[in-house]
Amino acid sequence: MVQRKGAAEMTSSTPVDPMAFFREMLGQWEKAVNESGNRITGSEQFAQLMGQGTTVSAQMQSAINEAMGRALAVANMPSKADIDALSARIAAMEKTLARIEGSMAGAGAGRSDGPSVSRNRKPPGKQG
Amino acid sequence: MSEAASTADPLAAARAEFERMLQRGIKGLGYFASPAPVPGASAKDVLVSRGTMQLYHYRPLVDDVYRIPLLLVMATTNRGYVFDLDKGSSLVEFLLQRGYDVFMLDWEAPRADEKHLGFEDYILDFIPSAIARIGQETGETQVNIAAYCFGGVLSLLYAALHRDGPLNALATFTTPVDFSEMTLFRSWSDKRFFDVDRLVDAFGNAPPDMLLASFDMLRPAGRTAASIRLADNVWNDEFVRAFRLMDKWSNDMLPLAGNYFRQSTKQLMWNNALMNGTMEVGGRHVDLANVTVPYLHIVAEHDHIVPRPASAPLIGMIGSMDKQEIVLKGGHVSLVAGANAVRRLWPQLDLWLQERSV
Repeated sequence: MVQRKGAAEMTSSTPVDPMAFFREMLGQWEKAVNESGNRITGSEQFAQLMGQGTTVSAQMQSAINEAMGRALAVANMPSKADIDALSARIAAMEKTLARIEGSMAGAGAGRSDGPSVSRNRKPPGKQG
Repeated sequence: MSEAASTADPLAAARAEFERMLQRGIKGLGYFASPAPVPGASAKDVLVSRGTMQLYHYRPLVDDVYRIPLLLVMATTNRGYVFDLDKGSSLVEFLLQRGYDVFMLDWEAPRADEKHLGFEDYILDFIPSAIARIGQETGETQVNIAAYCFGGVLSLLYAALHRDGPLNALATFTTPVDFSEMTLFRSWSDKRFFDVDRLVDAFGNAPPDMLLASFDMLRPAGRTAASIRLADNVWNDEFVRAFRLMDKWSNDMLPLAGNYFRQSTKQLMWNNALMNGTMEVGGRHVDLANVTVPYLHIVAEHDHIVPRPASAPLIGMIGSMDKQEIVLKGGHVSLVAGANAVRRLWPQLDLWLQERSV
């Protein structure tokens, strides 16, 4: 009897959310689409197709690189390779600068301007 | 109106839903009219900015920090601000409040001239350089590392090759080791069909669009379902802000340095070298049994990027006497950021680190 009354109360206080069904369906739909999508994209045929697509786009990129290089040379402009070479030289300078900064930091010159803190903290259970 | 009241009374619930519908209309317009929120909750100094390598030092929030500094190592595919998205949902902020001296090794998009960067640069140059700089900054000779996803792979390789180094303890999250179990990625990079050399030779660095498309294909319905959920919750400012920050982060993928992508594909995807014990970095053989520092691996139960079988063997391969694996509810990203992470991963990480940071 008591149990029956409790069950009745539970029924009357069951959450009523008009959107709950929609959200549940969305979750189910997402799961189903992901599972079937993964079955398709996980197949050998799909991998082959993807590989072919990558090869075609790589070929196109190579052709564009070559054509652009020729066009820039005709216009007496630096090519991507020239810019890359300049960038590599800047990177080398950055590395040298970082090394110099590092050696200066040994003398305290490289420290940032953040607040100085003590380093004696103990875990909560071990604080004396 | 309280949620309890709305669920007890169908009329009240219907009224609440109607109010939400109105708010959806009003705020939906605001969504498209307003700029996206800017991620980043914690003040920081940039200690090193060298090409793709970025080292940040977050400004402490307490006067007394743990002795051993903590270095967060980010995955190379994504930006590190996932650890510092917003006030109240920032792992960095949480760690600073708990008394850690926090640094982060983050990545910028590799420049065209950085296409030659490989594992050896990340593991034998960038991580050791970052640790050396932290030593100069703090005066400490030891460091702890917490690393995410492929940042975990890099940190493990570093730890295995620097047994006597300054590393004191290592925690990794969602870190794969058995790449044969990353079935979809492995299928898409099948060596019979995928010509990684041609791709890298043509593009220099691996294009981020290609990487983003691959991640999206893991969950084909993910974006559509996320957009519908956004429309459903657009009345909720907090949800919308968190969604926009996370959406910005997940779309903000980085290209991968060409040689690094080539090495990852050949050594890990094709040869499963970490699992087979044939991994080499800069001509040096890597054995994960050489990782002997205290080690924690936290994995997500519903990780669609690094499925459980891909990370499960890792704990057994580590040589440490003090090692632990924790499996938490959540997915690959919700493990480290968002409400799930606040409740689950963050306290676990703090509990494990505090004993090993003095």
